[in-house]
Order: sequence, then structure tokens, then C-alpha cells
Amino acid sequence: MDHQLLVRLYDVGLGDCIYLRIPDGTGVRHVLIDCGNKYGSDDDLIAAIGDVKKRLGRDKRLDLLVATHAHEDHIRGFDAGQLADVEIERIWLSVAMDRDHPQAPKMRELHAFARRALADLRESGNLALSELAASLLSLSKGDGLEALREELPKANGIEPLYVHAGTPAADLRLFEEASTRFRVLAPMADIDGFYLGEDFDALDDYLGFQPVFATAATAAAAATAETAPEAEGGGAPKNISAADFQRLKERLQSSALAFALEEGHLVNNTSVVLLLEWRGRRLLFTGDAEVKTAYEGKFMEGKSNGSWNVMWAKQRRHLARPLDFLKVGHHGSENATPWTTRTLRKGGGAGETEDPHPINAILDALLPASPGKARPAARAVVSTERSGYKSIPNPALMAELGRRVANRNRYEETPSGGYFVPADVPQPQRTDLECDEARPYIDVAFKPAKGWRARLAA
Amino acid sequence: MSKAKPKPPEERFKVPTRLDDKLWMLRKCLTEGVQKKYPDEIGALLKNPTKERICRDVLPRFVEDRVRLVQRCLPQDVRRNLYEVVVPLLDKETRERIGLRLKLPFYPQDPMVAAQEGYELLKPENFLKGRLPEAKEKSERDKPPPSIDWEPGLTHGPTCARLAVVDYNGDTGTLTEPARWSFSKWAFTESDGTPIPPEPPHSSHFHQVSVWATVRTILEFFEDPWALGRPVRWAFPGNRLILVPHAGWGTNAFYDRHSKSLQFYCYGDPDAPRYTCLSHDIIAHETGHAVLDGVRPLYLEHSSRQTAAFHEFVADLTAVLTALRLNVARAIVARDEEEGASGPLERSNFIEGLAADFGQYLKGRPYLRSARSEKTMADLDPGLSPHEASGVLSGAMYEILEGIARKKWQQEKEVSFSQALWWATDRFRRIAVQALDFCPPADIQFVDYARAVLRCYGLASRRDSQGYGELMREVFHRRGLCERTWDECKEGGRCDLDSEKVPEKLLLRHDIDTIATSRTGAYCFLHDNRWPLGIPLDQDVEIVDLYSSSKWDVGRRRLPAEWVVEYVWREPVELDDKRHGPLKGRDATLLCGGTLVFDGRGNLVSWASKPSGRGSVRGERRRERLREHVARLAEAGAVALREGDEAGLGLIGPPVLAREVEGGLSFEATPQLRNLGLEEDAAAAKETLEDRYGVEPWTTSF
Repeated sequence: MDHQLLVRLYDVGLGDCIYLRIPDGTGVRHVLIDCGNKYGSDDDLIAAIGDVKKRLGRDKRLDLLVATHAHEDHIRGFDAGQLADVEIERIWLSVAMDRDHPQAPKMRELHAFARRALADLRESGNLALSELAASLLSLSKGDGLEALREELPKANGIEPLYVHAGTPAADLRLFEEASTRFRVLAPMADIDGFYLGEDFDALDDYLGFQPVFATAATAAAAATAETAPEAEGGGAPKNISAADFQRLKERLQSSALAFALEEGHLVNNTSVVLLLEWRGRRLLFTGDAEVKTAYEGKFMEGKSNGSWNVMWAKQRRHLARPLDFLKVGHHGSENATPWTTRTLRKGGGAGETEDPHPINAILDALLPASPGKARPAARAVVSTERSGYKSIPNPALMAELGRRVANRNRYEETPSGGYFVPADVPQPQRTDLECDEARPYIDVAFKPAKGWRARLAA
Repeated sequence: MSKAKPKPPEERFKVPTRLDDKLWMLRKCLTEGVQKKYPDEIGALLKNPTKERICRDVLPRFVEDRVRLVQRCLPQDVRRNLYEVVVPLLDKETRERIGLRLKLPFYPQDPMVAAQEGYELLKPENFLKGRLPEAKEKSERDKPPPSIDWEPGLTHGPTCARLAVVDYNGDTGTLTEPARWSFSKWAFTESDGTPIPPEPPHSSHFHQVSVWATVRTILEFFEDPWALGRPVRWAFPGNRLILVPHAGWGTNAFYDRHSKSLQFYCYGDPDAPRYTCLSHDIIAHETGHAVLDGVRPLYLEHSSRQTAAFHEFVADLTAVLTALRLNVARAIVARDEEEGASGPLERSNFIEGLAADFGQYLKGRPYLRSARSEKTMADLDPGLSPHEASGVLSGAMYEILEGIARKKWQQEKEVSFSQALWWATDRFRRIAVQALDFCPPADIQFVDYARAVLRCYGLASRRDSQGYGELMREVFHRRGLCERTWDECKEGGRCDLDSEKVPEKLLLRHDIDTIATSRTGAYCFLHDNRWPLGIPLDQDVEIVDLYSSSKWDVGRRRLPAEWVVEYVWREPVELDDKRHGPLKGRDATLLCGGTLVFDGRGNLVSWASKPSGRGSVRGERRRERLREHVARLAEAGAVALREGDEAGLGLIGPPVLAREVEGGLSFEATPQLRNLGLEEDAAAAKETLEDRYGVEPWTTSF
């Protein structure tokens, strides 16, 4: 089996932990992509790390550690203590995690604002809102981030590399074989330009915006009001009751969730997307890169784009070929795979037609549906759990992927809030429905593609 | 036969005695306040203190030339007494003349719209001066700016009986000081007592006063005797609507029943934000939602696309009609008309231009766009969008407005188009707004409203001498609200627009005083008439509302008093199709019931019913329509099941929430997450909410 490439996806709950064993020359390379979960236990993560360490062999050498983005379901398990006995050669982090990135202050501001809004909401006393806010807060709290930026690099005497689509190939060099390489397809280094857009400037400015009104008296009053702490009981209006004001605040604060959600999209869209090219095989690891279907899925210069939209526009020559493996993004959420049930209506009245959405062209290129009864060649795995979010994974997407991949199964899924894939519909392999205690992972192995040497020589 | 025992004097003279009290108080007020300055006039006035003379003739004329002086010299207690005495008796114009209405420096239009070419008349200075520099008619040129009734409880905020401004910013968590009311200055002031400057750049207090004044004006628009003729209640528990002028950042503004509030956000360049709280059209639209929610609270239940669309229709109607009542707005329409040769409203871009700045920011679309819709029922796509559907009714009603204005303009050539439009708008308000009282209590369809309009108009104008009734029938037919064509209906037979008839012979009559005394009294009438009204015996009927109104026709003639009884009951409808998705196996609630309108003598003058889902073709259709609507909501993922108190989640969930009410699910439209102004996200939100769910995030209806 040493000549086979192994992809092992651990069942850590709602999260990603992916180990790669990549034959290279006469040896092998070990790669760990993400390690985190949401709603899952620490034990799952510790067990996964333990298993990875067993795979590393006697020298406990990990050639590459990748953290795709700074959400807890991808990085919570990176603990310096757990990895103390591992020799890490390289650490690749998303450029968005770089504190020295020129656009970092803006992102931090958005992050801080979102967290402040969520913290207020968590304390609001409204049970449903508090729970949601707490959930969103924990998603971005950054456990593991310090280990990735500081502790692990220091312990291993290396500097993390903040990667993006423009990172020079020499910096990404990892393999002996010239034909084997990781390509970073996303994110772009210009985060504001590609993922937030020009309009973000307005939002960004607003984050520091306090209404400045004309008269000095008003400004002074406003300033007093801002500092008038509600803890002193002086922050309540006198013309409505305390109960009415509390209800109003809750509704307004829940509206502030928009900021938190916006920040979540930004972090997802700055996920590192890695294309591994190995002996004629193509494997894509997507993090939680999102896709947007607005504007017919077109990339819009200077606007807020989804990561998939940017990749399709800027990296198509690397992307637009069939894959051998797809790590399904964002745990099977509908917003992270370039496919939608939505159609485009054209014309009107009796002459109206419905065309497939243009965004589906991306998935058609990556995982083409096999004609007739031919079995597809590609494989895909969804690391997921239907716990925190009823709609993750998306049933329609699971069914569609089930048509396009070889490693598909039929599962008896427990309905949750009405969201489930019927038992007779095949889906790609899912960590939540396939793994058990004895085997808490899904392995996908690849032999080199037939004739890859000849193709390479050609 | 013995003579009847004479009534005791206090009973015999009950009404005159009360009037005497008032006259005594009036005498006291005037004596204390102005007698020293005007002894002769006061003496003359008090010689013959009849109600009619004092309240309608003498007093207004007496003070007309001395408004400023009288306003200055009336101390607070005198003004309070004057308020108590004359407000119920005097009309708005007279109250204005004697200083019981406030003139405030607020914009009744969107200053951003005014900045655009062709809308210069809407510039703030024209409003603030109350002048129309280009108007040809002297009467219009000199019209004062809109004013608002003073009330003794008016205080900081502004806060009045029905409205309270709370300037809380949800994003920054700050509460801004309220504008202060100064009686001595007879104005709202900044926190330090200095006047609020009306010219930009504005203070937050200007915004507070402006939004309050605009909502107050629109509320008055609905409560006038020419409209609903009664104070309008709010749909939430309590009587004060909270106005939040700076709720946060985003291209949104909405009415939110759960927090009893109208929330206004700001957007654009943070260095020069655009405030939705300054836009008359946006405020009017959202206030329209709040008023309709009070008048018919069950229309919030998303029982059909047309019910949701009706909310949008009324909100748009409010914005357009209140805008057309502004002198400058009519001047623009008139100017557009005079420049062109085609029909009155056909050329004017004014209606399309309402809240144009807001609309243009939102992907270049008019915000209140349904007014010019040419759509008929046959043109409606199978989607869920209430905005799209509301265009049918909005288009029909503006066609009627145009028809009335055109008739007036053509009949009287000496009348300017601006005057004809004013005349038509006034009549049209009565037609469109008074009809709301004749609408069923729930599950309204466009044809229900059309019937209500025709019935209401028919009661006030039985002969239809001006032909407006026929005009309306023709328009409603053309829009497809009747299954038969206008020509077919003219030849006879049943027309869908004919009002419903109760089998009079089967009706057991009750005295109107008994019905009107209490909800129980009204219920007893309904119970005795279950058979003619089609109320199943097993259903416990709820009286949703019971009220009277005092309306006027356009000629200030008092219409007969009306007593309105709204009643409903709920029937379960099984959701058993797989299309009902997560709701399969539950029961939806079919709202049944009706609205009965009685005249002062107890005659039933109108009945608008929503029949039981069992035992009639109409009822069966209603059941199927509800099942189909819920299936489509579920298929689109536009509905979320909420258990318990999760009200706060309304802003971040799907646009419709299903809640358990009396054993069945009712479907409530909710406000949506505001748009942060990121264009791509706006488009994405549009796709996910409008195209898919049929709801737009930024014109959120509630």
C-alpha cells in the first residue's frame, strides 16, 4: 500500500481533520489539513491527533500542517501540548490569519464589532438569541489560533507561511517529484478587493462611525449617552417602559447578527483551497470556501465575491478539469459547493424558459456526471454531522453528489427537522453515518493514474 | 290618562347642560387670556354664546387675525382648557388658526430625492417656508407647511399619546438624548434649550422630531373623518408605537410588531449617511403597515399570497396618497402634466420617483414601484412574491385615481391639474381608506377589497351621479378581479364584485345598542344568526374587534354612524402532502369569519365573510388554497417552525414563521435581516429571499 496515496478523514463531529499520506520519490510525505470541531468533544480531536501521530512513523515528522481558516471547526484541535512530540516541518495558514497583512486591521475591526454585537446578544436574556449568539461566538473564538501562529512555529523553529493564490511556487515546494505539487487556488491576497468589495469601505467606515451631529450640545449629549453606562441604570429611555425597551433592544441586537454572519462568510471565503497533483491524480481540499449565485454566479470586479467565483475566474486553467477527489466544502452546506437547484428564468409569459444556473458549470467540470449507467470515477467525502444546523448537510446537494461520485452509499439517516436524504438515494461517503468507534475515519486511497509517467514525459 | 311625569331638569337638559359647562369654561379661558387686550370683542362674543356661533363662527374669526398674539398670550393652563373645550368641536383648520396645532421644521419629503434634477420643488426650503414658488394659484402658494395637533401630554422625545421616539442605535448600543419640548418656546429644542436648526447639517434631534412629525401626520391622515373616522389602534398590546430613527446601519426600514416599533436605518457613505428616517415615502410606507396591522391584525398571517400582497398594497397606497397631499408633490405632477399632452398620471414620473434614492441604491429599482403596474390577475407569475402580486391591486387603484382626476379636469376646464389632483386625491382617500372597515377580518383577497370599495362607495353615493362606481367596476374587471368580463357582467347575472347578501328573512335582529355594548353582546347576535351567517355550531366564535366610526363624505357631510363587528373562528386543515415537508402531519389554521357593518339604527349594511372550509364550494377552495400556499412556502424553504418564545429570531430566519395557535399552525410574516449595503450581498439576498422565497429583505413589510 505504500505506493498509494491515502486520504483519511476523521469523524470529529461537525468539523474537519484530514490526514494525507503522499508517496513521494522513495519516501512518503505526511500532511495534516485542519483539526477542529463544533459541537464535538475534545476526545474526538485528541483521538484523531493520536492516530495521525501513529501514522507518522518513528521520527514523528509531519511535513506540512495546514489550517485553512480560523473557525473552530477547523483549528480547535491544534494544541501545542498534543503536538509537542511531533516535528513539524512547515505550517501553512491562510493569508487572512496574518496579523501583518495590510488589510488585517479592517478584518480585526469587523471581527471585533461582530463579537461585540454577539456578546451583547448573548447577555440579552432571550434564550433563543442567546444560544445562537453563543454558538456564533464560539465559532470564531480562535482556540488553536495562538498555537498555529506562535507556539507550534516556535517549538519547531519555523515561521508559518501565510499562503494565498499568488504565493511563489518555490515557497510551496514540498515534494521531491517534480510532478507532485500543492497548488494554492485560494484565497487571493487582496481580501478587500475580492471578498469584501468596494462597498465594504462604507461598512468598514461605519464600524468606527458614531453619529456626529451638528450642534455641540447634541454631540456632547450623545457622547454622554454613549458613556452613560447602562449598568448605572441611566441608559434607559424615560418615555417607554423598561420591558418595552428590553424587547426593542433584543430585536435591534438580533439585527446586528448581520455583522456576525458577514464576518463568518469572510472567514470562510478566505479558506486555503489546495489542489494536490500527484502522479496524474487531482485532489481538491476546499476548506469552507463559499460560492455565490448572485449575478448568475459571475465574478464581479471590486465586489464582494465568493471564493469559488474568484477561483473560477482566476484559476480556471488549474480548476476546470475532472477531479479524482473532492473534500466537500463546509460540511455539505449548500453555500460551499458550486451547484444549485436554482434555475435562471428567461423570457416571460408562455415563452419563458428555465435554464440551469451557470454556477453548476463548475461542478460539471470538477465532477462530471457519468453518462448512462457508467460508474463515475471521482470520489468525494463529506465530513459532517447533522447536529447544530438542521440544513447541514444539504439533502439536495448530497443527492446530487451521490450521482457524480464512485464512493457512494445509501444511509438510513435520522430525520432532523425534516432534513434528511431518503434511504434509497445514494450519497457520497459521510463521516457521521459511516464511522464508528472501531474505525472513526474514512479512508480513500489512490493509485497513480494509468499512464501518468507517459503523460508526464509527454 | 294621566300625564307622563316630567323628567328631572338635569336629565332633560343633559346635553345643553354639558354645553353650558363648556361655554362657561370657554368664557373663563377667553376672559383670563385675552379679555384685557380685547374687551370689546370678548364682550360681544359672550353676549350670545351659542355653540354654533362660538365654536364655528365667532371664535375662529375672532382670533384669525391675531393668531400670533393669541398664541403668545395664552398661558399653559388656558391652552389646556381651550384644548379640552374646542378640540372635539373644531376642525383641523380652525385648530390651526387658534394655535392648537404645531408647525414644525420637518421635511415631508426625502431630501435626497429633492437633490435630483426635476425635483427641486421638493427642496427643504420650500417646505420650511410653506411656499410654492412656482405655483400659479395664490391659495396654493400660501399654504402653510403641514402642522400637527398639540396635546397636553406632549413631551420630550418627542412623546405623545400614540407615539414615542426612542433614539437607540442597536449597532453601537447608544441611546441618544431626546429632543426636549419647551412650552414657553412652543417648540422642540436641543438638549440645551436652543432651537433645533431646520437647515442641514441636522442634529439628531431634528431627525427625532422629523420622524415623529411625519408619522403623526400620516396617522392623522388615517384617523380623519374623511378616512377611518376614529382613532386607529395598534396591533400590539399597548397604545404607543415606538419610533427608532437611527436603529443602525443598512438599507432597510421596517415595522416590527413584536418590538412595537418602526425602525429606520441609515446607509450610503458613512461621512454623509442617508437616513431613511428623513424620507417621507419610506416612513409613510412603513407607517401604512403599522396602521393596517392595527386595523386588521390577522392580515399578518401569511394565509395566501394575496393576503401578504394586500399589506404591501396598503403601504404603497399610504406613501403615494400622503405624498400627493403635499402641495409641492402635486405641483410636480401638475408640471409634468402641463409639459406633456397625454393623460394625467400617465406622464408624471413622480409616483415612480417616490423614495427613488432608496430604490436606486437598491439595484436601481423604484422602491414603491407597484403604483404603475399594468398587471392583471392573469399576468401573475406562480411565485410567492407579495410585492409582485400587489401591483395588480395598486395598479387598479391608481388607475381609478387617475380616472377621477381626469374626469374632474375634463369637466371643469378652469381647474388646474394640480387642483383636480387635489380634489381627486381627497375623494380617492375616502374611497380607498374607508373601505378598509368593510373588509373581512382575515385572509383577504383582492376581490374582497374591491367589493368593500364598491360597497362603501355605494353607501355614500347611492346614485353614482359622477360615474365613479362604474369607473371602478370597469377597472376591477379589466384587472381580472372578476372571473367574468365587464361586458358580460353589465348584461346581468352574478358578478364577483357584488357585495355579499345575508338572507334578510332569516336574520334575527338585535338592538344595535345591545350589539355595540360589548363583545359578548355582539357574540350573542352572531350565535342567534349562526345559520344565515354560515357559522358552524361547533365553532366557538371570537369577536376580534368591535368599534364605531364617525365619517364624513367629501362635502363634510356626516355619514351615518357605523358599527363594525369582526369575528373569526379557526378550523384545522391537515397538511398531509409530502410537499409540506417538515410541516407534514401538522394542522394549519384556516381563519374563517366575517365583518358586519351596521348603521346607527341597527340595519346590516355590509357583510364580508370568510366561509367555513366545510360545506361550501368557496370554503373548499379556501382550504385548498391554504394547503397549496403552505406547500409552496415549505418547498421554497421560506417557512420555519418556531416553538415557544423565539420572537427575536424573526430577524434572522426565513420570512415566515409557523407558530402553534389553538392547536393549529398559523403563519406569520416577519421582518427580515437588514441589508448591510454590500451590493453583492444585496443581490444574493434578493435571490435567496425574493426569487426563492418571494420576500425582499429591504422592503420588509413588517
